[in-house]
Amino acid sequence: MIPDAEAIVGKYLRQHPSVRALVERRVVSRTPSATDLPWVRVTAVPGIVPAARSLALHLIVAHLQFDCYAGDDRASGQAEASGLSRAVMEALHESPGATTDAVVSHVTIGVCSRIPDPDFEPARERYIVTAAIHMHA
Amino acid sequence: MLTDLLNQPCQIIRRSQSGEADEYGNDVPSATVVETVCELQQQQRSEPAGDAELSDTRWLAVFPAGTDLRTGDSVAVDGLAYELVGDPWHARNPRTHSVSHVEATLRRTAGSDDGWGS
Repeated sequence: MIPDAEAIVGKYLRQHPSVRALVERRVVSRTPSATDLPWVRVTAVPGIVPAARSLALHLIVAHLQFDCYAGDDRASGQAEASGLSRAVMEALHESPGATTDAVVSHVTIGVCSRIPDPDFEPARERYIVTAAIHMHA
Repeated sequence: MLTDLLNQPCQIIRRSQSGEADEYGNDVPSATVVETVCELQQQQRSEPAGDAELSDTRWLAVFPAGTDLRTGDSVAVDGLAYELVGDPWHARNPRTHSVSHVEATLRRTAGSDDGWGS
């Protein structure tokens, strides 16, 4: 069975000390009901791609997006979201070999963009990190 | 009196954080049910473009003053579930200087077999 990348990577980030120090367990796959504190939302965007050289459906490249949100303090929002995105990037960079839920063989960080979320009023500070994570069960 | 007109039995399903998380880290909400009354009036009906017969309706719901209602709640009326859209309005009567009722916008999306009378 190919691994559930969103669940595995989310769990890894929740347990990583640098990320946990900023958001505790708020690494989730949907916007939490309480949005006053920072959180990270993990989404398979553009998605999971079986590795081209894999003869069986075994090795995948998980293209994931990490929306790193600040809390509701507008004055410190950008710094908060920026720090969270950098902690996520560093944690992802350290992930090869670091989780037992799957074998992560390689991580490529894509981009880190500052895109405040206009669904909030005022727009909530957010940095979006993308990464390609090669893994198999 | 307004309270005489609010005579439709309904249930408010209050979703709150349980502290338990699913495998994706999301809180698995717990639900409590509060019995009350309301008045429900349809405001808009439509079908999204596409090949599915999906109903999308919006409603005005009026509850008694003091009703505790939040955007994360849902409301059940005659066995059909409606989701709250946005925070409700505790309507204050400027003449009496007191809240006279609570208004909320509800939305229900359903297939044709899930609709009224089915």
